[in-house]
Amino acid sequence: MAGMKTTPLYEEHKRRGANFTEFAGYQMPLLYTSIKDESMAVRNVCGVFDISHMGRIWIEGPNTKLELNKLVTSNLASLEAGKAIYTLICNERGGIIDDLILYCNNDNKFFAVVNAARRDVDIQWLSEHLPDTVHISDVSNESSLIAFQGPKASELLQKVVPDSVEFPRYFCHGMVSVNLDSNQNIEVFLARTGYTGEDGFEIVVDNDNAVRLWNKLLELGATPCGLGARDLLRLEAGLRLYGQDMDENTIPYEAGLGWTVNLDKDQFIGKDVLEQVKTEGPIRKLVGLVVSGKQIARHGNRVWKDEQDVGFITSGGYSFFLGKSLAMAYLPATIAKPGENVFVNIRQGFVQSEVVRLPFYRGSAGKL
Amino acid sequence: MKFYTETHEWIEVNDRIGTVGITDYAQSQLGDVVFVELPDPGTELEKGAAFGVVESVKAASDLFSPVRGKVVEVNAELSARPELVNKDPEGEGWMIRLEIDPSGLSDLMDEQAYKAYLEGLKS
Repeated sequence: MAGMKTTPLYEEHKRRGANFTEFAGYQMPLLYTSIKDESMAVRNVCGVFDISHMGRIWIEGPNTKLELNKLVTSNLASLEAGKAIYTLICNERGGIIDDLILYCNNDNKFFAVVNAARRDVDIQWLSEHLPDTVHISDVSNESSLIAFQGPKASELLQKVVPDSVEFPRYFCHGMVSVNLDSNQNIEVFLARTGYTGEDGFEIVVDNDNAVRLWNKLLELGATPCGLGARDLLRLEAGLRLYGQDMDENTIPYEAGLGWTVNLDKDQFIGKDVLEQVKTEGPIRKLVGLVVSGKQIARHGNRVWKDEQDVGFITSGGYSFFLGKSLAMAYLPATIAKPGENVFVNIRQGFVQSEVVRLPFYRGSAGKL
Repeated sequence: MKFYTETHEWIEVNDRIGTVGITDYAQSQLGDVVFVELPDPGTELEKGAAFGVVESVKAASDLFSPVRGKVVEVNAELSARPELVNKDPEGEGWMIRLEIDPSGLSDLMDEQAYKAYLEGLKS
């Protein structure tokens, strides 16, 4: 498969018999056993994911926080060292360039984890809009990124971390020592963030230690999980996927991400448009749908109400954990309300669906 | 006697009744099956006609009748337990039973031919 990128854990996934899929130019595990088993394992115990394809960027220089604050929708001013934030980068039209998590090291040094498919676009945008004194380093290939997610994640990880170590709290991060075997401790970047709605961690580890850490996490009792389970879990948790639920033409208020926007702070790119949309209200809104029966709504399926085509599905999947078919869709703001009934055009049929509040499921992260 | 189609259905014939389902290869390609849409008993099917849909996490796929026949029975278990298609695709995961026109069997593959066909797909 010429030209396809792989992560440092690729051989491990092959050895384990994973089914692969292409994502953002990478050969990634889609599943090891089944999406059903893997997603259930994360909801009930703990799963481990190789997400090394995601972009990782260091942004460093005088006044980095101040400069980044001109490019993102959130107000970074009160983001302390050791804390992280989920935020958006918008263009001048208020359209979302990417969603990302920013980790504050200090006022002059930030770490960004961005969508794999947007890595190049983000770096280009940051280069164009940050002053030359702020340096951008793409370190995506220099490490591996492993997600460890589930209600038991904290309890299990405790077994390989010295008792003295206090885990970062929710949406916090730090360098932590992990015991791989009797003599060997390695340092990893440990962030208490994730994309499943469960408690868990995202771990940046040197490529040299990636395989051993991966196997250690499996030894602890975590189930290896692929992108198939990852997509289902984030859908259940009501988390958006860039490229599927939003793109460069999506205004944060349409995507239900207005909560990341702080209009009280000083000028940032897109602020004017966002102020306008906030005042007028968005014309369309992203909602959750519970689709009746067991057919799966797929991206692009049209949504109907009162014999009119009113919107479309952005994401859909069958939740084994909830026993329901779930979807996200854009609907006119007037009917984008919990309790509204619509019809999703799936193949030749029209399947009744109900608008519900997101998330579909609030996991253990909600209790942190 | 079991026969196979290029679209990965199998048919097991006893007298004039053929039991139809999808093969293990098909279920592994589909991933977790969440729903199987099947025809009503009494439905007349032409050879090669689409008789239903299997919905999996990956995609929805049409099911094609290996031979011409009339649907006499449908696997009621599948509505409550669609995962039977993954667990036991050539046994408990059967889908429909047909009163068949046996002349349609002659161009289907036997087990050996199907195995060779699968080998060919891998390369």
